[in-house]
Amino acid sequence: MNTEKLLARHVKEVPPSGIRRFFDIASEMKDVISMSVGEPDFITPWNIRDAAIHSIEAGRTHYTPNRGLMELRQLAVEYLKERFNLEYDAKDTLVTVGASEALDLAFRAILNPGDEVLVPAPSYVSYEPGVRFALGVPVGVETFEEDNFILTPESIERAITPRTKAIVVPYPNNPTGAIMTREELDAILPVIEKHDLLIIADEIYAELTYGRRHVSIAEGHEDRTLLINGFSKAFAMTGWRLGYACGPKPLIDTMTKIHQYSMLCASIMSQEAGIEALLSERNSGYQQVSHMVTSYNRRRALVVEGFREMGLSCFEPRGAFYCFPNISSTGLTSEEFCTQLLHEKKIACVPGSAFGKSGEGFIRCSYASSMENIIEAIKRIREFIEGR
Amino acid sequence: MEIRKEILDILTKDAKIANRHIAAMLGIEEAKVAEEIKAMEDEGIILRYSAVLNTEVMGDLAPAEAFIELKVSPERDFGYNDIARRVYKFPEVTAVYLNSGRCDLIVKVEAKTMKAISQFVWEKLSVLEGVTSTETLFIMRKYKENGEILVEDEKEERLVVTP
Repeated sequence: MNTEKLLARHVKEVPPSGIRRFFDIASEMKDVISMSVGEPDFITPWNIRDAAIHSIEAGRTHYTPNRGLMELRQLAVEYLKERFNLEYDAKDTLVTVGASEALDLAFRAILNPGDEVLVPAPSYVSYEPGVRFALGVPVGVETFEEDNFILTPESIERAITPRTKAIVVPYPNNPTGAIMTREELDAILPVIEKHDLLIIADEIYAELTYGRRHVSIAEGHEDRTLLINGFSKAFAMTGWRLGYACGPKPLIDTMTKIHQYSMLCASIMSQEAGIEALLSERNSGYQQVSHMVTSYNRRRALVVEGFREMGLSCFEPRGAFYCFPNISSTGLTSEEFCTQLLHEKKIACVPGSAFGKSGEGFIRCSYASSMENIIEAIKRIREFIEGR
Repeated sequence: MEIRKEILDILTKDAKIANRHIAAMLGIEEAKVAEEIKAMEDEGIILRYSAVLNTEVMGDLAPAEAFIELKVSPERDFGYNDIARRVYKFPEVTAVYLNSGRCDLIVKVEAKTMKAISQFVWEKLSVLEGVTSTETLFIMRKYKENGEILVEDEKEERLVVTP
């Protein structure tokens, strides 16, 4: 049987992730220092792991309601209120298998074939494929180093067509580390409102900002914003696959419809762990979160300083845990840079081009790595550049 | 003061880290870091820089250790401080605490062998004036010390490259 023939065209047309390709090379090499990991280097705090173990021991091994445990949804909206001043209703909150599922559901819930979604570039690798799998058309909105990688009303306006339905607003941003301030958000809201676009706010890195608290575009605009968040980054819980979406009722209802037929519910153990995460952090004044932020912040400063000392232009990241230095002065493409760096110095960074065309000329360097690794990596990257 | 706290936080995790790295992390001048560290050394806040050992994997290199609970009867002109002083002067004693609860002083003792510790207790500690009783608790296994788990390693198992 010719299985190739079976595959859906719109799925086949989506290229495999550039990150994946790089992973295949890097994972076959020994003693590589990886600066390309998109997850916290902290293990989930023990009290959270402990809560999950207890729930298993107590026999809590069944399905939960499709939308997730009510206690978790309630805690999630209280958390959003307390931390980011957002007004969402627990009834219109859907617990998902990671923030990624929430994104996928959102695209599937809103898109008719050919509908367009604005996706900032560079940004996280899943948005474009997610739109395509839902038969939509992703339309890139380029952001630039000289603008601090933020969205501007002009760039949004230029990308809008009569078929535009939504805009993804992913700040703090992976891979650039950019954030958007209240003023910068206020500047883009009128054009979004004028064209009546849905905002899909992927705020998975909301807790990880440096020097200032994250401001959500949803604040005061909850009625047109699908807010997506989760536990992976804030609580170091990537492997638990736990996220949530809050938004306008018809949208959440429709997403829930897809979710109930495809996923049923997020795993109950993860949901129990999520309850513990939100409760314990609230009770401790977000102690573990702020401990992690302090730790990332120091490493961030070290990495940025390191790149600048090498003579590279390095945008100052204010969120997430990535640094996005400009390597175009080396005369190499970002893919060449990363491949040679890997082979010659055994340091793995991700080529900026993996995050879209406009990431060309940059590399993504994750500082969610030990201090030792960071210091060694910076030393070797400097040798690499000086040796050219 | 905040800067001192941050410097100490970094140094207590890695005392060998270069001043210029500390400076970069905190966004201050390297000279300022050196100055603060020197000041804290002079003020006796930083006593010394030492290696943190995992005695669980040291085998015969590791000394024997015990906690000794001392009950004492402090008298006029002969208070806790005085008794404590006569305890902590012994080089075998690595820590002394005055504490609430059923004993008064908790003393940590280190020697080559358990036998040597026993001998130290009966020859030196139990005979001190004011010490009314001792109870020796030998450390058999250390699970965690100085904030470090000694008996297991939660290995980093992240994939090399992830989105």
